[in-house]
Amino acid sequence: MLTDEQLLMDYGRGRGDALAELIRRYQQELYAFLHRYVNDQNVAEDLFQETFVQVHRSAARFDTERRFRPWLFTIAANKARDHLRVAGRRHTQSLDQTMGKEGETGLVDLLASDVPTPPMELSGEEDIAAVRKVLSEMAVIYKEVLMLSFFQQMSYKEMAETLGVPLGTVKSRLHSAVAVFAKSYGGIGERQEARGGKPG
Amino acid sequence: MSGEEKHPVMLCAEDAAAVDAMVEGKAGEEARGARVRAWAGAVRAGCAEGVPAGLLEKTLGAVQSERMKISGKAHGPVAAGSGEERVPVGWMRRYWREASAGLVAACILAAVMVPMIQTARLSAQREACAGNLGLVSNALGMYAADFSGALPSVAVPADGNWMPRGPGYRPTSGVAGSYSNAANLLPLVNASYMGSERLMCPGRTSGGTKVDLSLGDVPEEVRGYSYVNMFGAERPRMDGKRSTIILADRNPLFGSKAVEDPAANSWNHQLRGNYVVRGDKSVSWETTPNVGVGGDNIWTIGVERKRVYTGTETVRSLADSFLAP
Repeated sequence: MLTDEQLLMDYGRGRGDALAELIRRYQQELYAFLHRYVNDQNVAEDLFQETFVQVHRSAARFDTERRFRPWLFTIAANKARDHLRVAGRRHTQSLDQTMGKEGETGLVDLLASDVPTPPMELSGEEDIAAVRKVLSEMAVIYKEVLMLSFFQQMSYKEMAETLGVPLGTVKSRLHSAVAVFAKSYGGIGERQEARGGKPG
Repeated sequence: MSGEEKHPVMLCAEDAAAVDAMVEGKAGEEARGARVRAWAGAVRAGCAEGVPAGLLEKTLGAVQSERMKISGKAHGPVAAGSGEERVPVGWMRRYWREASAGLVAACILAAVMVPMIQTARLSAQREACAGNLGLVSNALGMYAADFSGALPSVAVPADGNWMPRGPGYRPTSGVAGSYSNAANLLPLVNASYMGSERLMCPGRTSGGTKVDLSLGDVPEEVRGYSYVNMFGAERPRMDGKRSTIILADRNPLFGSKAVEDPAANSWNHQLRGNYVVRGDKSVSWETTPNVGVGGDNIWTIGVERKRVYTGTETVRSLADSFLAP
């Protein structure tokens, strides 16, 4: 089977069906990434198409030393970020939003804290809805790193390449993202418990 | 963003190490590792989505539009200035001489450029049509792979007639209804192998229009291609052979602009040639319709070159390609 990079090079040389194959390979994970990123099915579809239009435009100039997957996600993440910026819904404030006292960085210990751990196989509609709510409310920089690491299962190196930030920054963002996610998810569970519903 | 970002909350060192171990695929501390994996599983469950129907086709369509936009981009002429200052007579004479020379040059340029632009447009349309047929060919290949080599087909209609009816005609779906041979392509759309806009040739229509699937047929006004006749006694298959012709630009012997000469090429490309899709999924540009097995004409049944059909005639063998209108 041809690699992604070979397919893109073939497409750049005029093999039209190579792009269809690339789209087919990535439609599931790239669409899911964009959908969770912008939290809107129609916008995600548009961004998915724009991403591949950009791939088409840049195919002839693709640096063959690079890998296709991080490059594709870089394009997609840039498109999604641009959209959120234009739509005025970029939640940059969340980066400064403190969960502890002002100016302090709270530390979360997943093992010692009373934050409930989600079940290993999350399947209930309510649980999944809770996760989606947390993801949709997270700051973009945390959401993207969580999705790239846990959903797209990228390595730190790939994430750094995709996001265009140093490896150390990716690590600290992910550590913080997991902490923010756990805190917010736990918060939903507590509210549901208080209302007599199912905890998260 | 720099490495000195301030974060409102962070994981403790042990949890951070467990996250790193998981991302890097190394073994971490068991209890913390299990917790981190549970959080990762929750994120994955929250992200998992189905793909909307037709996303592949829509994306390829967007790329196609982009390609067309670039190929057909026209560069407007630079507007001349319209100064109203009075100039001395000598200057006026020189001005008019230069203006006339400019006008002549512009006419010569236009005489050269207009055919070039037209050729470029036709070439872009042909390229778009080839791209479109490539997608249909892929869809046919996928369909055949899923159905043991069979090509898409619907039940033979009650009247057994493959002929498309004229403008204003509306087919009636189902075995007891009447619909043309083109209806045999609809399973590709109904089963999401491709979008209905692929049934139209970008070289012939402005594109973008969808086929009304409730009709159970591909209406005359949007039908872009001619499909091998599937209403005969034996149904052609995707056999992997280059000699078998499955689909082509629209048959020019039928329709409102029908020609009599069976050697004519399709109107899709101004009678200059035809794209054909073969049993090996290849798409090629042919300047004659005599490209079937042994030079067989793909627009007609048999060799009699019959020009008046009722719609009930069928081929005698699969070696006789007949791409119904």
